[in-house]
Amino acid sequence: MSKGTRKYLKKKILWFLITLVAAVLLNFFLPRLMRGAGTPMRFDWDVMVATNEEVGFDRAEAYNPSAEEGKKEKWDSTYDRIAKEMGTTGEGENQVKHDKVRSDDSIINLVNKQVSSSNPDETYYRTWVSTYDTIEKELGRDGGMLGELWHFIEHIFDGTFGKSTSTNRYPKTVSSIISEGIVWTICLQIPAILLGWLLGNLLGAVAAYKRKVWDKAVMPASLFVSAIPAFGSAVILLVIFGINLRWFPPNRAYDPGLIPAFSWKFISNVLWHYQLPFWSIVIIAIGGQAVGMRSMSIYELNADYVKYSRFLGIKDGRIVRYVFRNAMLPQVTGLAMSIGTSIGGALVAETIFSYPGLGMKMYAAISENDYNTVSGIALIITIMVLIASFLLDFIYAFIDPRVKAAQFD
Amino acid sequence: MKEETREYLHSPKLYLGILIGAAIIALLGNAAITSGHIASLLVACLIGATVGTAIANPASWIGSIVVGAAVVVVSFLLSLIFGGALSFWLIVGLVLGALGGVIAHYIRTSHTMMNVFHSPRFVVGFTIISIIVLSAVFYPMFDTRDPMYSYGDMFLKPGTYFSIYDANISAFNSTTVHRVLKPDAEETRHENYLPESQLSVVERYLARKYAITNGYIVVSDYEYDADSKKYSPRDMNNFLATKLSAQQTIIGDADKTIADNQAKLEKASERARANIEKNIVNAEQRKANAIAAQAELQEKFNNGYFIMDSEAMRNWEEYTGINASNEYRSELLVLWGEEYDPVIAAASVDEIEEMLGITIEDENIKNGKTFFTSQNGFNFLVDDLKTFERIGRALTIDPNGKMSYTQVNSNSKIDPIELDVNLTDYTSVSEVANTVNFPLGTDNNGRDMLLLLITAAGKSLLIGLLAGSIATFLGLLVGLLAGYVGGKLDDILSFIMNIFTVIPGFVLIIIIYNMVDKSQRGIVMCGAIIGVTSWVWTARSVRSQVISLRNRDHVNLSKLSGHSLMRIILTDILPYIASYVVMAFILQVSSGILAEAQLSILGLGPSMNDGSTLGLMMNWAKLFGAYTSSNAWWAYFPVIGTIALISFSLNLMNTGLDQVFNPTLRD
Amino acid sequence: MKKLLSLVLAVAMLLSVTAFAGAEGAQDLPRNETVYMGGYQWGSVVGWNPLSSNNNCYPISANPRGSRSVMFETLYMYNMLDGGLYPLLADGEVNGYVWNDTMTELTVTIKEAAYWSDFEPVTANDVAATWKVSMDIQNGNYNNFAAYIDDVVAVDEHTVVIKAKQNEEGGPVNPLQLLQYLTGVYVLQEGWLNRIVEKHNGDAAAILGDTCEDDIVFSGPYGKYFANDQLVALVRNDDYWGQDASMWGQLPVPKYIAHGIYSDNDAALVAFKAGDIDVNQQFIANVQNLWLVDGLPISTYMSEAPYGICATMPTAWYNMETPALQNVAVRKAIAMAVDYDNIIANAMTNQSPSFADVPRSVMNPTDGEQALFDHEAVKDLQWVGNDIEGAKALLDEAGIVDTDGDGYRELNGAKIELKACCPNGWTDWQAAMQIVAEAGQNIGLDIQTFYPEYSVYQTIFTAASQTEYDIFMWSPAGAQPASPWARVRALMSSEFLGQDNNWNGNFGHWSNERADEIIAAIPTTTDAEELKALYTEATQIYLTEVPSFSLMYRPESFHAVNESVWTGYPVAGDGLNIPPTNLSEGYGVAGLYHIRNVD
Repeated sequence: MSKGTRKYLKKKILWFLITLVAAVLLNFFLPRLMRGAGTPMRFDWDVMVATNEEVGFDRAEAYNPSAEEGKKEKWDSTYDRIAKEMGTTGEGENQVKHDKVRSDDSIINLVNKQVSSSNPDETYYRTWVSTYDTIEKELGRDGGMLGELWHFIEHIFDGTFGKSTSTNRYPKTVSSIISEGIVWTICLQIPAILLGWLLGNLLGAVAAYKRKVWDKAVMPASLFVSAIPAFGSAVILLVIFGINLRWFPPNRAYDPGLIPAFSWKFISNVLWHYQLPFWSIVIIAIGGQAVGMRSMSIYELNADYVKYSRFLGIKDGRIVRYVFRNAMLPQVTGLAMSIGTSIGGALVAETIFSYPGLGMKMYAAISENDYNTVSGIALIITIMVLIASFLLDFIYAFIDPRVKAAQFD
Repeated sequence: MKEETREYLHSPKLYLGILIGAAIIALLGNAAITSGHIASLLVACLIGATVGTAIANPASWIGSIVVGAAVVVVSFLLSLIFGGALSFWLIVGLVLGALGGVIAHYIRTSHTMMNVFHSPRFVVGFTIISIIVLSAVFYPMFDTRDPMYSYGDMFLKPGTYFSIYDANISAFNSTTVHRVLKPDAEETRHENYLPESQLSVVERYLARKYAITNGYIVVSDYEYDADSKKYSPRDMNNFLATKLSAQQTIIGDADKTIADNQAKLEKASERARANIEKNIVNAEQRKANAIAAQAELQEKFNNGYFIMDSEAMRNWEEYTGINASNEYRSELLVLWGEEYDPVIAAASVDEIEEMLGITIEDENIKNGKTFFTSQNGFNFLVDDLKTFERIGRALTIDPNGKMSYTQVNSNSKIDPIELDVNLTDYTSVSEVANTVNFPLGTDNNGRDMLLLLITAAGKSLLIGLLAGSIATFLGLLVGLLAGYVGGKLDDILSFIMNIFTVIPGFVLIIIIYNMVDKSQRGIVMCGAIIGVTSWVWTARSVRSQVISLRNRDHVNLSKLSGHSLMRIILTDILPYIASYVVMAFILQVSSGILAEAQLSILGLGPSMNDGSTLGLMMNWAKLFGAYTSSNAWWAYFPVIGTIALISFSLNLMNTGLDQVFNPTLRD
Repeated sequence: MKKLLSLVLAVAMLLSVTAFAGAEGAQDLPRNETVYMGGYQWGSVVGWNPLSSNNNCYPISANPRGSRSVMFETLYMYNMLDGGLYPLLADGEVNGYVWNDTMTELTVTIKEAAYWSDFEPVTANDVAATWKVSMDIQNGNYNNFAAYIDDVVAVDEHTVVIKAKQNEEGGPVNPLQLLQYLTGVYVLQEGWLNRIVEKHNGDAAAILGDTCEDDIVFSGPYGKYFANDQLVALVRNDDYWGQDASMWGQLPVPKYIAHGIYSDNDAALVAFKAGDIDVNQQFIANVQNLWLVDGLPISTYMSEAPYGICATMPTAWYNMETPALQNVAVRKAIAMAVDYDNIIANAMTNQSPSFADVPRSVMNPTDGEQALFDHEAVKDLQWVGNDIEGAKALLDEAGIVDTDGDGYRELNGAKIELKACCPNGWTDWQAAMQIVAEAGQNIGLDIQTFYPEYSVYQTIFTAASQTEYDIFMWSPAGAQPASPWARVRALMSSEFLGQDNNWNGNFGHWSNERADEIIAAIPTTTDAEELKALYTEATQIYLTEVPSFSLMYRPESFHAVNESVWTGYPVAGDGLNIPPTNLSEGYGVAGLYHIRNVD
């Protein structure tokens, strides 16, 4: 390891760490800006907002007479926070949510209060508020934004990423939610991206080298296929192979009745369910890579060293191997970038095929204002992309000596 | 006036720049005015002015300021004189005229433009995208119906719909009734009322629930093989085996319960003991019943009299060699009732008799214990058979349960619908008063798909244009600064770029989106948000190109001659990467459209009050089960096709330009 | 490169499986022994604690309209077809509970044969202990019943007395809420309750937060078998007490009940059509096409429209604070002019009976409720809809005509301008409000639609007084033991006037003393004829004064079945009187004892 590389390495690691810290902070703050990120608690709405006269006693007193000064403000701030949450959690934005809100039992109590107790006694308030406080403490929200940040970082180190803040999933920890989904997403995304990348480069190289039918017909066709949006390819495959021809199951990761077990029956079923989501991601990844590879290969084919080596009489096979090795380099950075965007793409394919990966968990978390889970999942993706790009920088240096040289100027 | 300014005033570049700038302001401004955002109106003016000035490319600084101002003034002047919308159409007309003229002039003179229009890929892409843009702009002029108007039913098939009432009226008006002898009228009429596919459904239903072979009832598990259209009977023995094994599992469960309870008996509390003993007794009882049932099954099977319920109804000669005579039949029906379908279908007894063509004497069946199909199976068949009668046909069933239909009264009137109309009376669609044509059918709310698709494509393009321009502008700004200035600034800017690549873009958009209250999520806001989050890869590639341009001779020369930083960037570096910027802009527009579509299908897209976009149409198609429950392909397939076509044509233009600017890539 | 890739893929696959190594030895569910439900569970289960309502676990969620008694059981099961309370843990006949003369005490006996999953017998002390613990930790039961029930006392081993909270004159505050208690509250074992209270030494939050993964005692036919983010499955307890002759006389037929978890309605519908779901609770537009067009073995409770039993009526309320709407002629004219068939076709795709089939009243289209009032007496008051001429005549006769020639009618000099509102995004309701606005335009009243966001809408329409919305939508109480009285109270009772954040009813703040008297009298009248007279008079007042008008009948939970694996589901007219509640809510559970495999 020469002095130059060591200096370069130090600089690279420094920047890696700074980006990591910034990413953690951003992943913490951004989801919390979601309108009125709420607290996951069942409460009796009209009891809580009835005025003091109706209730017949001063609620601040009932809150906790022995507590420290400033209890009235404490109560009112809690009340405002709930008013905002109540405003958002019941948001029926579109028909699907509307049906879910009206038909799913656990939420129906929250939204339309058919039965309500008009004015319960003081003890109700005390227990209700104390329960509310324990949940606040559990989510680390009592110490304001900074307290919550510290709580968030603390929970990253103990690996639970804190608790889910959605009314349906509290008190499950975010790490358990992620662990349910991450394996499926990795098994779906990584092979799909790799295969798409590989096939794309292969097509690009062949189109550049052989031209003729490859370049004239196959290239534009793959360009058109990759122009189809992610949900478009998912829907088309679902309708043709899932619903009409029934060659593959239309959704889910495995048949409903199967209990996950280490048996061939289960694995073969998982592989059978795996095909539609997998190919819906692969076919649209091919075109993008092919274009890049084609232009790079053409550049390389016209480079001087190719002519020179031809004059030297080196066999075509060997020359081609050099050419494509050089043409492959910029494509490697493309691979790192596409891992980051994969989760975004996965969001759509997983929702349409009801595939239980991180994408589906993220979609549920966002629609339920579950900001803790959103932070957790976004952080996992960020770390994955960071590591991938960091490693690729190194692999890059080994593959292409020119890059290593450039790193010293 | 200086010589070159006078000469510059004559160059077409100036006027082309002003007109294109004014057009962009009108296009974006018009959308901004409709959605009531003053801020976005200012953004529109900024974009219009910069593009106009860039095209006019005046020599001096003062010149470019004057041209920019002229662009804005011209657009406002025209909008004042002709009123907002009209000025827009007028400008579009002006621009197209000017553009046509200028292109001709340019092709004759400038080398690169000629090449651009020579590269086949670019031309194909350009024609596709201009067809889409022009139809989005001009089609609503001709078809002025409100795209959001709901015609009524959900997911109507593409076709011409005419009012049956008006058709009837014209049927009685002798001038419009004409005698036409269509050769295959009978077959098409039958195919329409009870198509072959429906016939096979009826046939499969018959085979599944019960089959009628001249008086015998063939039970459902008589396997019906669709492709060979033949009934192959299930193997008699394995059917008995399945029946016996079903009882065997009950016995096994009972044994297990008895063993468990025995074990629990010792340590159970006094009060629980009684309940456990009672439970053991129940289990033993269940076991005894199962054993008895097995014995009964085996016994009936052995003496040949009792044919398993699937057998009982089969043709006797084929299997048992005994010629089934009448007296077995009612007994079989009773057995069938007990063994197979105890649930009473809604059909009454006489309907069944009329259906089977048999008379049921057996009291047991007569007094309401009818057996037939479970659930509504029978009702569907009765409906279908009524249809047969309406079109003058009769359903007959040949020996092995194969259905066929024979023409009863060929040219009789279709009496059940009480229309005194002859089978040969025809009237032309044009003569019917009220007709509505849906070339692409209707969507979930009954809106005309074609009109909605075109206006939505226009809206999506607008979002793409807005997002593309913002992203390219930001990318350019950051790329140039980071690339040229280098050092500390470069580190900070690349750090920001790293952050944006590391945080998944899609997640970023969703989170920012959630922060904006739904009502303000108009088209312009949506474009702005997508633009602000997708500029990173442009900045990254611009930076790498600028780094390589940084220490070129002409740049060092202007550094020596003391030109300001901005001047060097604008005049020495920008023109070198101008071709790349145009290509990046095209890719940004296409990724902007894809991002909007991706957001909308998840229900996070813009709100509907500005009209629908391509993504929103996909969202509504998904919500109302276009491809799941009602397989209405016209509600989602054309939308996916349009999105793919737009991004395909933009990519084609991009690769075309790539070939023009890097000669080595040419075919 | 190829070899490397296939290796990576295989390793990834193995990795994914090991992460899921079999849970507690649960075996795969054999298809022909499992009933798959659909449309209830949208996320993974959080816990199995019957005391808390934060479980997100559909098999153990209790609510007054009919709790699901597959794992935990209630005293009675509500049957919405005839409104009867069928005994489960309670002994005796249908509606076999006994009131004392002043209706302040309700006595219920417990079945001798009933015992828990640990074979301990179910006693009255269990019922009393459940109530006591609910009061201490103030869970859902407390919220629903604390204001109406004073105490629940175990008189002896098998009789329990529920004491009602009394008003000043000594009468019960609300006796019908006691009936809701019988069908809405799970009975839990005293021993188990003591164990959980000791475990958390009485801390309410800890008890409610306990997910009870391991220590559960239940009396129902099914127990927890397996749950992850893909599936919730229950297994039959073959020692279930209900097989005794005094109850069902047999074990339920399916060995397992399972519910797959899907990403949204769309994916669930695809699974339903493919036969992966047997009983589906989901609104399916044009459900009849599934069997008529696609030829699938799918059917609903009724084979003809409206296909399901309607139990709730989305209603348009008039805001009494709008001057124009204080005139009864305007209210009645708008209601007459609305084209209800268009609403039913657009919003419900004909899955709801029209007002021509079931004439409008305050009652649901179920036989039980329709029999409660005299149809003849209200026949002339019942309008069918889309009666433009009739509405115009009514307005002209009331002197509300167009004086200044602008095409719109005026009332004491002012043009009648009204806003019809409902939450944005609730598309079927938006379509209904659009049709109401068109009706107004047709008869010369300037009604415009306005769709605020739900978060704003819910704070305004429940306000004590508001002038934002003139005509707005909400549904009164659905089918439950206390209905139809609860619905009449929700439509007409003036007790909610001035109450801020009022979700209970009368959102238009209309009042009528006679209506209040009827509402007060109904709960305490037991004589059938008298009750019928009261309900008839209430309907007459409602149809003449028109404080609000219902836009459509709508099922509260949908019920469609796929007969590829199981058949013998409850069907209209099969004489079994089992309600179509997806074999789970209230007396719908009886369906589990009648279904059988297809072959």
